[in-house]
Amino acid sequence: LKRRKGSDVEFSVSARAVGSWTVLDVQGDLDLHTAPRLREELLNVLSHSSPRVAVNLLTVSFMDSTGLGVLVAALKRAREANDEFALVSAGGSPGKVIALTGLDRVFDLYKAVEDLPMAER
Amino acid sequence: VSGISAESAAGTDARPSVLRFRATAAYIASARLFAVTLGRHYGLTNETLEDLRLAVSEACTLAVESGGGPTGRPVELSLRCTGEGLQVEIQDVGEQPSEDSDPARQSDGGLRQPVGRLQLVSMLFGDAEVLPGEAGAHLLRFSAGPTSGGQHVYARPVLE
Repeated sequence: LKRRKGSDVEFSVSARAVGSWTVLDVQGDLDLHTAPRLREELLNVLSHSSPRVAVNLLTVSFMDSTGLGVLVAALKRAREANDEFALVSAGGSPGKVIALTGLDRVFDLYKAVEDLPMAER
Repeated sequence: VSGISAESAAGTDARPSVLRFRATAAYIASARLFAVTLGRHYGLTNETLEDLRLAVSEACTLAVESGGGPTGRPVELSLRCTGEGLQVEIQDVGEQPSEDSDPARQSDGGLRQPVGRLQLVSMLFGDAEVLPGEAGAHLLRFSAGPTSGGQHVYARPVLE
């Protein structure tokens, strides 16, 4: 899969199980307009589904600080519940805003879904 | 299309190209596309175009959140080639909160984003400033281009 550029992709969030992880695959531009949909999906999986949640940003064509704020809030919620929260494929536009804000030192980052640790902590 | 209109002056460098849109989140993507298309037309590098895309998104988000300012007017994104770069103006970005009360930095207390929207724009384009606009509006202005100070020399924030 290649990272998409531009805003020609409809925004979508879909969840799948990968071993002990619930992976949310996000596609499209993540901004003030679309971030509430990711927030809702994250709240849903963090509340009910899984103690291990990863957000796959591979097909996120653009992300600004609104999208980042949703990820920060999810990380905080996961930490409070002693759950695991990770970001996957945070390059391109998402990687830029994460690095600019210094949060690359805060999030657990993995290059690919296959790199998520499968052994329970 | 109701809610959004554009005046392009690309090729006639003296006049700005202007996008006006209702203060609605759905139009922020159009603003990014408008800015990047013009930036590409004026020869900005791909790296600067990515910075421009992010800065315009942050600025237009501020403007949408301010709801069009005191007059409730459309958000106005203006880009003008100055010969030294691309001058970008967005209004009304609203009265800027102090760093501690910036809603962009809030995330339920505790862990929070270390950088607010305006600070992020300033990290991308070092000459970014908020100026008095028309009728009490707040205008955010920055320059994208080879001669604008600060871009691509990012200051990393101190994490809290």
